[in-house]
Amino acid sequence: MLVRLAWRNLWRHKRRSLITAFAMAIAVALCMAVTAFTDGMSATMFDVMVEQQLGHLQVHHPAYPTSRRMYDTVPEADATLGSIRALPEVARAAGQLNGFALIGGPEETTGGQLVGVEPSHEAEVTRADERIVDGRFLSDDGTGEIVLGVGLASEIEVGVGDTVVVVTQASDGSLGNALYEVVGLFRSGNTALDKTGSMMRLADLQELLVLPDQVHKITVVGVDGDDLVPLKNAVVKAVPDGTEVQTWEEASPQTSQMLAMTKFSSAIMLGLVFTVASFGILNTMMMSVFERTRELGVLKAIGLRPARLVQLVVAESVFMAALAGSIGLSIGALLDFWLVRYGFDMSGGNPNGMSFQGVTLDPVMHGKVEPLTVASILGALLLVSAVASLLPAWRASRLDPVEAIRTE
Amino acid sequence: MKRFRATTLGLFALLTLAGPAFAADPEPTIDELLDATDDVARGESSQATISMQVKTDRFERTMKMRALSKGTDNSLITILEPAKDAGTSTLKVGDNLWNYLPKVDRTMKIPAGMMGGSWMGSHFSNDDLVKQSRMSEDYTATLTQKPTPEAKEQPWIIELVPKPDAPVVWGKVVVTIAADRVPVSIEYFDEKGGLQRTMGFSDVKEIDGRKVPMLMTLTPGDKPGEYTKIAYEELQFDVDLPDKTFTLQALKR
Repeated sequence: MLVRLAWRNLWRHKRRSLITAFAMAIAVALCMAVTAFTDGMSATMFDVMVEQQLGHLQVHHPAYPTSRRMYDTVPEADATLGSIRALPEVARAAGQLNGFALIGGPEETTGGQLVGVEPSHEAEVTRADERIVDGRFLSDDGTGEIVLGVGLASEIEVGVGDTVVVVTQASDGSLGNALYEVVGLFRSGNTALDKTGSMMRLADLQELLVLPDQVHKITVVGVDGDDLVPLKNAVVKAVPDGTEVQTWEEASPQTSQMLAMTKFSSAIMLGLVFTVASFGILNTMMMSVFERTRELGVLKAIGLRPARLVQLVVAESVFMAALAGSIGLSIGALLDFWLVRYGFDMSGGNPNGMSFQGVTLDPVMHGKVEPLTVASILGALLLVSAVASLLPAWRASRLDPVEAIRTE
Repeated sequence: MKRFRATTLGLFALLTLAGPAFAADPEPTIDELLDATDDVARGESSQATISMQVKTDRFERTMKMRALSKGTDNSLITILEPAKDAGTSTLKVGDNLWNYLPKVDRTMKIPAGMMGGSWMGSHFSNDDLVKQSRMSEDYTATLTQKPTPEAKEQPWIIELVPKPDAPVVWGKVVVTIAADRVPVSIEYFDEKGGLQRTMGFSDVKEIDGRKVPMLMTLTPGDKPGEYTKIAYEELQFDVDLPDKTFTLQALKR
């Protein structure tokens, strides 16, 4: 009886109810779009920064992140990598050695970064192989192979199949030099890296730098990326003494702050939208209660208990919210579809795209729809509308029937 | 990266010992002393066998090298030992440097951006090999001490402050010259007065009637335990070197 009464009451002022419902629907749709967008951005950043760059854990000499010195290495690299990979908590791991060298083509020479990698493990962890735009990635047993950033290759005027000479200061003070065959060119999206970066097999670089069985860092990706504590505890036991193990949050506080900020700002946005929406509901219900003073007084006079009266008003409000929610969900679904499918160009005409921490992100951000987020938006809408209607409902229940009936 | 621009420090420069003989003439002017110090390292041509010992916190290595020079513009240094690096050569023509790497049979020009880098693992930079300045021209000199009739063995000490537009990186340079006019040390300070580098000259021998320091020690100011020592094992002046010695073709030979 109460439900039918509430439903009918809602439609007595069609236009007002619809306008309020639409305002709420738009709030819902906007919230869905915003959260899809920020969730998508967070997911992209997490993927690029954490999954592909930092891994879940970083293993290195404690001084290396700040010193970047050639000598600050993780010793016994083969054994360490082997025992890390054998851990059940670890999904994949890759060791890297870094160096700086003169890299020369037939005519031109320039300074560049050398990264020694274990090709198939590197491909698993950082997907470096996917960034090859010409030729192929390094092979596990291809001694003397090198891949160059596209900018570096064009600077020293070499291409796939050409030979480059690499000269560097080795750890024993000698002048390390060797020839390598360019098997591929990569484009990472990070302009600086593409202009100076190169990769070769870890074993080749260890030989060139005279750093046998050493790496500068090991990137570990765990089976469970959400709870890093057991992973870290296991890895700490597997590495040599004097080696530091850091979670990605410790290794790059900026990244974790950025991700937290994104979540926080979308929460603030949601809070604002719902605050505004709740005032809309409050206003609508207040007006409707005020207008119906007489009618509500009659209801009370014929014996409707105050609690039932409260329920009536709240039900009206919740119905309106449900109506708004379904309209909002439809509009929001369309917006989300567009965001997921086509994305949103964040570059704002900046030809260099968007970058964060030296890593260039795809300027077109694609949305990501989390069912839980959508459900919580709808839940929040119903809750807010119920709460916002409590004040008018309470006022309705406190009406003095005699006075109310006299009101015109 | 610290650059090392003063002339006498240049290794190539030192190889070319020649110039005005020190005579027992009347008291020299400051400029004459500075020029003599610069020219301890200048000459027409020379051929030398030197050993370079590099000691750092991480490694210690000694290389034997043959060095040829002609004028101030042309030099060629070839590593003789250790065997691993034998044949590795550095050619200097004017302001340009090339390295020849026998293992890969390649000649590589040192790019401008890499001139600040270490030369052959030593405390000398590539720039040190090519930069030339003259103390008497690029600095304002003040004589703070000189031999006196009472203290005949007291060395000359000259403080140098760079002239405003001089192409030098130091804030102050202190040159110590022995009473017999053989340089003893040159200390290089930054703008804040911190000691950046000390070049010491020792083991003075007489060659062709002139006193020449046969050992040169470079110590970085921030790492007192490290040094690069260059010692002459053999030294010949005014050798006849054809111009084609200092070409890329000869470098590859």
